[in-house]
Amino acid sequence: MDRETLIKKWLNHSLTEAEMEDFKSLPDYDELVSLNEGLMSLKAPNFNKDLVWNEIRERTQKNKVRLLWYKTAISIAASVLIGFGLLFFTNIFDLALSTSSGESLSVTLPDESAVLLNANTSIHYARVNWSSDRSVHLIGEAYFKVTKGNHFTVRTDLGNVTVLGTEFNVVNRRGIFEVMCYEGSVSVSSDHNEIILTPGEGYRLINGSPLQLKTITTAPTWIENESSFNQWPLHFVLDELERQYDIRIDDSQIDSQQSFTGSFTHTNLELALKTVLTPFDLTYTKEQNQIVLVRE
Amino acid sequence: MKKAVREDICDEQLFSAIYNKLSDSLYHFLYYKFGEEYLPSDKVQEAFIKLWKNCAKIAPDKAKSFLFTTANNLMLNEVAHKKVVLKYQNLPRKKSDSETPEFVLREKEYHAQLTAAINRLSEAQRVAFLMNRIEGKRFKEIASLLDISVKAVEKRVYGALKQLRKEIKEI
Repeated sequence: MDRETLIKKWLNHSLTEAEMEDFKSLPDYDELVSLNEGLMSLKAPNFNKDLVWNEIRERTQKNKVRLLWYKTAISIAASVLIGFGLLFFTNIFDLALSTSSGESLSVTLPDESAVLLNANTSIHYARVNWSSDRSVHLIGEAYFKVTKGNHFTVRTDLGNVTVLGTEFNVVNRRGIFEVMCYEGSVSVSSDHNEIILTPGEGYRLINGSPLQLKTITTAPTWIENESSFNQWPLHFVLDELERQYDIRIDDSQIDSQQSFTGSFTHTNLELALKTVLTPFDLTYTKEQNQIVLVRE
Repeated sequence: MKKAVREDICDEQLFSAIYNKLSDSLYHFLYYKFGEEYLPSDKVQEAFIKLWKNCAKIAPDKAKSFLFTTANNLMLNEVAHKKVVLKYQNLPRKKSDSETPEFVLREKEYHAQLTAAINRLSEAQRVAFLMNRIEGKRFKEIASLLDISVKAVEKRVYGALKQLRKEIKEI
């Protein structure tokens, strides 16, 4: 085989083993190999196939949506109209109640069940069909005294609490869901599981991790103007201080992930701040409603 | 006799299969032809989006030439006959005892000359040659990507090699 054919076969990656030997014995073998190696430094940077594909998908999907828009415009308009109608009617039959910072509110439900709302809390429930479906939506914290009857359900975005007739406290605030049972028994269901609590037992979900609790009190202390905490993250305790006293607390200079066990009063801000901060060696500066926490 | 299953490519699975098969080659084609300055991967993206938008008009066996023509045109619009320069990347090389300062300097010079010589090749030669040498494609694969004959690819690749060796020897 002549030299040119060998080189062409080499270029085409099609040399047989025997031909490879011939190719290696060519006088210009070394030169060809070093030229070949030199070329590798010109290799194209890696092509990010997945990234480009995702962008293509994103842009072609958008195109699709635009096409669909014309077809569905009428049905969207129709559902908006129906939606407004429904909203109008449900507002008449739905009752919403809420408290702001420093407030609490006692509510009596149609069946004489009592709900005590802590500060910055809202509930709403349907007045129609109350006797067959006793359910209340809760954001914040409330203490329930439920009279005996059908199932009574407290709904939150993190889980539901179902009872027949009993006393219990529910917290649903910023990723924290806690149920404490004081009388009778309650059933708590969340994404994770369903458990039954008996008096003195509690269940807490902080950012998705569950915890079983015990208490010896017969009612939440906050209804007696004192907030109690058993191993709560400090930032939640500070949030509660803000709610009870309608103040703003700046905790950017301290570690607010530590846990706090104890209680504070709702009637004396200075005393409350001291009881929370002293165990952590923290002090504060106060300017009107703004409180800045600093290390001592 | 083979029967075409579909007349168009408006099918997500088919479209995704075309992407997987051709996107790398299209990117290499653009890179070796125009260099990296004009963002070849953006042109790949644009070309595939155009392919999808026109999917009803394109038969599966025409997708490849549509992509290469479209991407090439997108590039030409932008390049506007500016000189293309391939960049020489500093790839990590194996160390050896022979790496005296003189050796390193000679290596550097060699690479600079090689890069300059590559840039002096015609576009057609450079694309075929680098897809063959760097991406390890056979003549037949390149022929089918560029819609030219195997013989033409061989001529371009071998011609490029000859010209490079000549230029490097002269220095």
